[in-house]
Amino acid sequence: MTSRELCMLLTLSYWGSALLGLPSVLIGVSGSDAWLPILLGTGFQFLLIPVFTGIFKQMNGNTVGQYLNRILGRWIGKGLLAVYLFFVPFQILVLTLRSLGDFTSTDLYIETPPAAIYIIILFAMVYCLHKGISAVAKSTEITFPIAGLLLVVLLLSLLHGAEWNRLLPFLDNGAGPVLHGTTMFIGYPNSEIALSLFLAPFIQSKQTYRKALWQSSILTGLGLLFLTIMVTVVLGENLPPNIPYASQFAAKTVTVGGFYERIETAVTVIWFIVMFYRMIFTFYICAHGLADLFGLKQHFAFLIPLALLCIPLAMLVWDNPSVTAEITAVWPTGVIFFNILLPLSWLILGKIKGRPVSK
Amino acid sequence: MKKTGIFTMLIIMALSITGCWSRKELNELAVTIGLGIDKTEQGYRITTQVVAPRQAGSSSGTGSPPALVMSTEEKTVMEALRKMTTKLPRKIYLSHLSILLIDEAIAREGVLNALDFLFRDHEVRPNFDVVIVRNGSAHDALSILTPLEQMPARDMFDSLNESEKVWAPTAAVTLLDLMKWFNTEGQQAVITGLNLVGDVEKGKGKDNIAVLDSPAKFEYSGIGVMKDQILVGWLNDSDSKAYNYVTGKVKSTVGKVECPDKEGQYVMELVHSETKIKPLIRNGEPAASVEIAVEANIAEVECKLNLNDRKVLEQVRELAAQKTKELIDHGIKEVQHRYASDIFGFGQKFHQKYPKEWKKWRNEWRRYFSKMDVEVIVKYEIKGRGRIVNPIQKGLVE
Repeated sequence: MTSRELCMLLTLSYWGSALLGLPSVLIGVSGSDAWLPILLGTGFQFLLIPVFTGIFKQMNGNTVGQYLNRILGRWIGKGLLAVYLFFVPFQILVLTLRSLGDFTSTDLYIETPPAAIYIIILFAMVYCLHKGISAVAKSTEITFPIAGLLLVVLLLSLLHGAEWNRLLPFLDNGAGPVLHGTTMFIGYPNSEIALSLFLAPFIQSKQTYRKALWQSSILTGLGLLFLTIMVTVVLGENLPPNIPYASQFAAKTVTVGGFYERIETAVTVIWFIVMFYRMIFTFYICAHGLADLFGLKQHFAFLIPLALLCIPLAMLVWDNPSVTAEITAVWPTGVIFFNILLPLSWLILGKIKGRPVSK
Repeated sequence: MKKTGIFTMLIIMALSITGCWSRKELNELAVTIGLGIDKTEQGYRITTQVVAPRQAGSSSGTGSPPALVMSTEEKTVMEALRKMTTKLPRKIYLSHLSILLIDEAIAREGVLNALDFLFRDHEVRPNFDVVIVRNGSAHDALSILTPLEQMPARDMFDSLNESEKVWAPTAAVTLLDLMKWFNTEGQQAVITGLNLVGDVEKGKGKDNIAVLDSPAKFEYSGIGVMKDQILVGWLNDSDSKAYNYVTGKVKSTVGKVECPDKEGQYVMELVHSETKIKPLIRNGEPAASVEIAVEANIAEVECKLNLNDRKVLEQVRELAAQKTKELIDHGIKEVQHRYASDIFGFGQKFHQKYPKEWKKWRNEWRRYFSKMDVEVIVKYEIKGRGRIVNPIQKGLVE
């Protein structure tokens, strides 16, 4: 996997559901300053990159499972891996699948039962992963430019209805809401940088890995920053919190000269692309992590059972959409622990354990 | 073996990805372009104007009207819309809606309940215009045939947008505007009014398009001032124009000014206008300055003037500027004193520029707004005089 492919895969997966849902959440928390948490959060992510390149170096070509076994011992390592797999990639996979279903059933294919959509998309993912994660990474060479171009088209289209003084007043309610927004943004999607460790065995050198992390952080930050700014200046700070899919609604408001309309299709296409990569990425990590956990060489055997498990879970994970708000509120706490504090402890433990070997 | 596998998979995929689950073919949809909501004793009467596809396409016209109007009565908007299927063979499709009419009774009571469905439904795009029918019902307004455009609702939509562009005392308010206004502190909503003139009953028949001077017409008049979701009153034409000046919506308009010698009038055609609102704090109280830069042409002259004279032209300019300023001053005062509803969005401007002070004022903004000092500055510039210089007459003006 080249650094470019890794960067594109990571960017698409971070953008994941964030392109559709994040502006609404951030504007709800930080009001018209919603762009500031993204800047601060991206800055914070830059600080995290050395932690992960450090772990990458310690992993030395091993998988995450092997690495954890080495620094924590067999049982704690396996236990931690299992907990991590369940709480981060698997949860993201199920929740993303569910939010895909929620979106299609509120805004797109209202009458299609979400289960039908889950089955089709999981079928596609199983097929893709059967071809291997490298093939998936290579496919981003085609899909990333499409998603990127459509995003630029969307942003330019939104310029027409922009009222820039909607960004005022600056820091209306003090720094509190901005810091709150920053934690949200660090939790989702920033902290998911930790997931990139699972791809480490495919990456040649630390330089490649570091470059991909830097580039993907910048691209993710820029994409979300511009989108959130545009949603704020088009819809203001009061409307978006009430519209979960604010960026899609913003696209619906675009009319230029009475014929340039219906840009929301672009949003839908972008969103399907990025959601697919987000899910396939976490799906791969789950399957591969499980194989690691049980000491299997191949992860293919886990693909179909996992996919089958996801369908009922996605349907049961919440009983009605209001739960999303509750999850959004607590989500950062969980993922910041798993994705930032845990890796940090691994790095430190690895440093301590690594010392005698280097002597 | 492998080939058979791939082949089977392709067939399965082809079956599943055609996306036929909730498909709606064109011949199953009633494409609705106009929607009317009237208050009745039972709840709401919903009127839809649906495109009649067979008539709409043909240029010669088969004699039957290009659209049909259907109405039902129910407690809520959504119920009424669905009940429509008891009278129509197709399901109402709202994506192409271009105008929504509500009657004054709903506006006086509060529009939010009637509009919630339209805010919520995924099919509805937020770009159509919302209008209040001032006399009569939305049902009547949608039932009138219009001679110029085939689709009456389209005629209303185009007429409103055109008049906002070149005449100014109307405001093409879209559903999106309302969504934003109802959500924003320090900004009240407005909705343009529509009057039915002439014999409405006659207007519903073919007579309305069979004669040159249609017996029934609609005409936009006045901007309705809302306080939160309730209509509190109407602005007359000149105050409506003032509203558009202050909010910077005037693209072009005309204005008459009395001649310097008080004999006759001259008309200025506005070609460009730009508004800047500056919120200020004077002695701890809110105040604002509204600066309007106007470029205009002389369009019609009844006066005896020598427009080739620099001094005369300067005088003409000053009078026009004075007139515009008076018009805007009057409009702002009227809104402040009579309605005390901040439709200009001064409050929002204070929120943006003076967030700390705004927090003190926001709860009593109505009171602050109504006694706020607003200074109007008009920068007027005359661009041209048209094809002729002076009015056609024998001899020269001395």
